[in-house]
Amino acid sequence: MPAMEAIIGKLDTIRRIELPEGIDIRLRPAGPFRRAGAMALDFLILIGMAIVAGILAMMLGSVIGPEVAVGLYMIFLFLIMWFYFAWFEVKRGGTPGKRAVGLKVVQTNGNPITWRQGIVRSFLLWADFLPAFFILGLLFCSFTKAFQRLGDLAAGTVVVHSREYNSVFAPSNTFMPPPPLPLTVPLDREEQQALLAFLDRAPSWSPPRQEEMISHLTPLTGEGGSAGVRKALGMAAWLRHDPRQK
Amino acid sequence: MNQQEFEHKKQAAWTDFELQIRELEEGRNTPSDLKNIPSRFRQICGDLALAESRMYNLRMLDYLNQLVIRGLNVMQSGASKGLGGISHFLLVKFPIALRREWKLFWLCSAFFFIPFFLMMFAANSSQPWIESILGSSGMQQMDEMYGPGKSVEDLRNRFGSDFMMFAYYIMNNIGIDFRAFSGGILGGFGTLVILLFNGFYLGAAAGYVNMAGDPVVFWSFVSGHSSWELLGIVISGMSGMRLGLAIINPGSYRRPDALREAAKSSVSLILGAAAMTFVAALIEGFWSASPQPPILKYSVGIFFWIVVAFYLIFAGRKHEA
Repeated sequence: MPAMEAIIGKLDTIRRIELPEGIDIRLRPAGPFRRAGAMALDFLILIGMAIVAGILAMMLGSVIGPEVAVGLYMIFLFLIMWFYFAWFEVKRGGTPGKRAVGLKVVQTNGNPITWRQGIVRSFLLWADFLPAFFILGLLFCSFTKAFQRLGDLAAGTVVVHSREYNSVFAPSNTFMPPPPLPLTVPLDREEQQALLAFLDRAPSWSPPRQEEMISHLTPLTGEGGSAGVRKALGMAAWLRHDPRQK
Repeated sequence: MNQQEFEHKKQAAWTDFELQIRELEEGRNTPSDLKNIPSRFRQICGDLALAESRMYNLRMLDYLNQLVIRGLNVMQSGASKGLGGISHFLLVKFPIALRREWKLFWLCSAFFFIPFFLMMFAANSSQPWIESILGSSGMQQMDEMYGPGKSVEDLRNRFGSDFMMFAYYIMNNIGIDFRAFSGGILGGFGTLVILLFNGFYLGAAAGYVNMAGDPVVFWSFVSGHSSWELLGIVISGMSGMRLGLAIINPGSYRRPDALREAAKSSVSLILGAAAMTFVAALIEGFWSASPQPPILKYSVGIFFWIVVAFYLIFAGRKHEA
């Protein structure tokens, strides 16, 4: 169904990348909110580094002379201002701020970034900051498909979630899938996948949201409301446990 | 085989692989650890393909997907090449990248040097221009440094203050280079502003000193580092313009693709420009203010202009395709 694929392509932010190993990996680009959080953390870290280095420089000043200490301090400021991001992103996959909130920087094909890419991203941070407080970066981040700021677009990089969704999809204690309910209509693969994804993700949604989503399935379930949800979950459970499906 | 059985059977291998990957990510590993990584990686890839085709739950798919990505990153991280060695970059790659963009070199030179000479030669006839560009504080500063009877050496009589100025030139001047690069992504606008502003400002400063200060003090101070510093600004302008042109005129590419291609070559330009500005900071910090006779300083300045010209025109020729 090409029409369906086009719609999914527009809605879904996940990038599928085919590996030579013959499988697809899925990258989940991180949105502007998560990235703003990481940026705020990194700024606090940078300010902290500047303050600590300033105090050290002052103490050092009495030993090596105040001018040399001020000179060293200026070189340090220059280095962290322009290379903090590049250094950590190339060496560790992400700055301390990004790593703390579970983000990392990769090439658009999923590989780790190169020095050139790290430097482009890092220097263009200044353009993304314009006219003030990363407004330009935020705009580009919000209106590009993989949430790329200018630096990402120029470097060919994307910031992705580095942790899996375990906690979100782990079955909660209160959630018990209903007993399996045999499917009466054959579903194609894509439809089966959708139904199973609903089963996996249902615990993370409120009952009214579940009902709203499953209301599109009334032709299949024959019922609306919570009864429809129960039936759909039952069918999904049957799909997963039916030995003939495997 | 249902999901539980599959998971049960494979769990040990997955956890092993994950531990191995984590060690590599954190850099604590021995070479012997690396041998079985590719085969284990392919195994995990196979498991992910199976899990996906059997529609196991999202938790498992996410786990395996993340494991494959981490494995991929670990295996590729050695391939992330640096700039190929600093000396090779400076002696071969950078001059070649620069000569490939020779049209941009003349364009950016024009944006910088035309305002520069315009202001310098116009100083006598159009003082209001100088005043409005330098401002009263700028003029005062020039008077203090290069006024009649002053000498730059007086301000810097110790090694400590030479070093401090060196550090200041690094922070300030290389910072300007980097901004000229960065501002280029706004269709070249930011770069243009920086080139024009610096051209006008430095030209006005030179013109003002010629008119109201002691030209010998000024020119003997700036001659030593002038070649490295001025061409450094021009080349950083080239790197920004390269980005800007990709936005304005992407040719037959889509804009993001044109931008990515432009960024690759402009990184060489900006890093080379930064290296030249660094040399300028060294000279300006430790030589330009030293108490040497002006004639020696002028000679050194001319010598460096010739060195820079030879370097930019001829370095790396035999590697050029």
